[in-house]
Amino acid sequence: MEVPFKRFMRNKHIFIFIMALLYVVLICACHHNKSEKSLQSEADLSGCVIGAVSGTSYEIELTQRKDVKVVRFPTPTDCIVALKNGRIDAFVYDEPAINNDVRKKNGIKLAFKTSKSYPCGLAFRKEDYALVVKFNQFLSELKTSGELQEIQNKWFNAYHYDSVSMTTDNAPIATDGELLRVGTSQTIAPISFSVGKDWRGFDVEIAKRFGRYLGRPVEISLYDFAALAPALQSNAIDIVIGGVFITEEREQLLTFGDSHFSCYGGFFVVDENSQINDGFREGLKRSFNNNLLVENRWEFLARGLWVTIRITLFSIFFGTLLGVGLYLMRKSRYHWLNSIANGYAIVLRGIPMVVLLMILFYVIFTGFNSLVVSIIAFSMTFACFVSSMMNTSIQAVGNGQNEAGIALGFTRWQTFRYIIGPQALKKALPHFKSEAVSLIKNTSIVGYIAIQDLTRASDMIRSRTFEAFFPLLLITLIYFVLAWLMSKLLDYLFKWGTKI
Amino acid sequence: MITVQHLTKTFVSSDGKQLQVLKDVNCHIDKGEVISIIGPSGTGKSTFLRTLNLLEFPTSGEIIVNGKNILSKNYPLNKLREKMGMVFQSFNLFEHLSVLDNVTLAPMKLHGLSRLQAEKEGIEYLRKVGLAEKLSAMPSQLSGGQKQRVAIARTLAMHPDIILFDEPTSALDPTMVGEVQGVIQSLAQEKMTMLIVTHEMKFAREVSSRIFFMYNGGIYEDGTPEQIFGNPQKTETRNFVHLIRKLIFDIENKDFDFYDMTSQIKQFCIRYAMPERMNPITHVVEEMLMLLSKYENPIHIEITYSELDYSSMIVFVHKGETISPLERNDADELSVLIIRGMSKEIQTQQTADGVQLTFFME
Ligand SMILES: Nc1ncnc2c1ncn2[C@@H]1O[C@H](COP(=O)(O)OP(=O)(O)O)[C@@H](O)[C@H]1O
Ligand SMILES: [Mg+2]
Repeated sequence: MEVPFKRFMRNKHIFIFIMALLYVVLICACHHNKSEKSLQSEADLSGCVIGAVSGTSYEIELTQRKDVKVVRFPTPTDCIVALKNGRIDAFVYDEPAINNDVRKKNGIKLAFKTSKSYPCGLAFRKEDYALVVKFNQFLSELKTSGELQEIQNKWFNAYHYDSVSMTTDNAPIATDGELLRVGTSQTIAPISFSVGKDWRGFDVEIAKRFGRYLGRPVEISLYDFAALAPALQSNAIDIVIGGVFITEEREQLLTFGDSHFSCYGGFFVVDENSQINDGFREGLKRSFNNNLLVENRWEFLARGLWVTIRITLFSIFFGTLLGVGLYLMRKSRYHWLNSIANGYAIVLRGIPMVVLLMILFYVIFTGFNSLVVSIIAFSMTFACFVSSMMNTSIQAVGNGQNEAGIALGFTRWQTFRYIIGPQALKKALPHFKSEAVSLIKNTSIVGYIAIQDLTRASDMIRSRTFEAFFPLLLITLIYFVLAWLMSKLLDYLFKWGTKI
Repeated sequence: MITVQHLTKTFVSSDGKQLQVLKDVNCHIDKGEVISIIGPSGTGKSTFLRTLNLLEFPTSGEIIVNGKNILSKNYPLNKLREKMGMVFQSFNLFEHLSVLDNVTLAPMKLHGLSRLQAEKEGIEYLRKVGLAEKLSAMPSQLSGGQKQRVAIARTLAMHPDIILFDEPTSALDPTMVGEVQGVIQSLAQEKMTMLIVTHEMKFAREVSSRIFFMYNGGIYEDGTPEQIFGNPQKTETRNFVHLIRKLIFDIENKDFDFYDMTSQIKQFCIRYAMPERMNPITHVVEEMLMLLSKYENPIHIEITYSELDYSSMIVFVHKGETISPLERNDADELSVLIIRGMSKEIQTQQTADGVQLTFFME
């Protein structure tokens, strides 16, 4: 009994996992002293701590109020968690996005709606007037026929979004027209959200109908909000949907079509009357059901996992090849090759990974598949590591043995193959392993260029279920398993590689 | 077998500085000869050895092995190196391989021997250097002397025509020097052709058929051990074989770092195992400097010590002067007394540079 437990604790992955759990628990335990007054209008917010999703109009407007402390979160899910933990008094988000179902499940309620409403629209590339004109034409037809109101009512009044059918569902898909590429950063019902591989929601239906109107097939991809404008400008997409507020600032960069609906913001607070106190087991069961089984949401994770695995393995493979090439260039007798290799290392070392990814995707390899671009980006940085690792570990073996090999009559390559290589490999293995493992985790930034990897998959589930931790813990577990498998795989390859 | 003509080697460092290490080396080596290369450190002995198997490429000159110039294009260098073994000062065993694998690797990969055959031969060579029972040990488990003997066995396994040794015993504890020298000696008896860079004069004298004294980038004197050790023709050779060690100071002005000099003298005495002479030498030097401190002229000091007859002396040159400071009227009497008391004999000489005093010490 004693020995397995020790072995269990010795495994550093498991140890780190436990530490991460502790960390989460600690964070949850940090409470903020609530102000007791009830919130009825915007004037009552004075002196309160308010959560807002960064980059939204609400956040920008609240920030201008000196009497309110604004706390910024990446998603409304995080706002809900903070609210429930008492770290904030209220949070503000699109009122329709936090529907009754979400409110009930999370024990929160609407305190009041914003006094003004915000017009939302579809955004187009600045110089793409032809498409904007066509869209406005299309929209006014929808309005006059009363269909727009119908669609809006259908989505905004629904209780179970998955049962709402889209008028485009059974319509024949245009196959001959040029692809209409649509980008969204929203994965929240009812505006734009995904069910399995399908995109659904109010904005999605508008976009699909517009595609049918034009006779063009529609492709929808998920982008980070910050990446939407560059994606439009670099021709990666044609239209942005997802409840985008029309603001003056954005109109300088993009062109908006006519507004197709207006949205009120809602300030949400804890609902004291709600009782969602099922026990730990019940809660876990419910989370499992909500996050994985409903709508087959586990498929997000499965697909995301497969993407993460492919990016990691291909990047390690090509990065290692490129790294060996770089090393040989560094050691070449031609001065210009050394300079290229050194310059490459210096430049790459200075670029943050996200920036590199964005530059490659939006500037250099425009038109390439985003998965391929991400593999290129990660291979490039991994190559830097591999070449410097080779340098250190080969140097650590020492030139003496190299000379001894040469003096015996081995060629330079044979000396490397039989003498230097196996020893350098052994010295390099631990570093290579830890770099490969951290690569797995580093790939989680590919969301910036519209790739739905494992992390992105959990974000999508979270934005549907509004659950804070279950999806995160789940992918943490998956990353741990991946890390463990990776180090086993490398051990195996190493054993195979050093057999003479 | 090997003829070397007008060989030069200049190293160019990365900042463009040139260092000519070999200036003009000429020699001929016949089959069966055992040649020891001696000379002060830094004169290019290792460099010379390494140009023979082209671990270093010469800058100019010719190396002719069995009638062929190995510097010509397309000369099969790897074949040459197979036939020209090399043993390094720092052993350079392959750390990831066992003793036996160290010996069998090259014959298997380069001569196409089967593992069985290579191991059979390998064990034979290990037995020859007295290490057959260590065949499955890893290099890190061996002492320095054992490592060097494995390195010799590894070289022998390639059936070389000649073996180059670069200070094979310099990195060893004194207690282990003998075991390695013994192996080399037995190879000499088997008429193995060898070129040995060494600092062990006694060993060089016993094992060699010929001695090269390298000095100042060339083979300065070449002869039998009797000639080189018994009757060297040149002063530098004599100084070297008499194991004369020198410490030199040039004092240009009064800013000279006196404390550094004292500490260097102490280290010199300790290094050559004559701590008992430390005090007399420093006293004489100090008192002499006291006497000379009145004058501005530069001073040249040489402290020498012979490891052969253990004699030591101090040479003072007071530049541009003609009168010995000891004989001046205004010389401090106490200083003169101390100096005379400390030295066995004092010689005064007039040279082109100035007045030269030589103090022979007890
Ligand atoms: N690869 C090299 N690059 C530059 N200088 C070198 C190199 N190898 C040796 N030298 C220089 O050449 C001189 C002779 O070295 P070496 O042949 O090792 O002398 P020895 O073996 O006689 O002590 C030394 O001054 C040394 O610093
Ligand atoms: Mg040397």
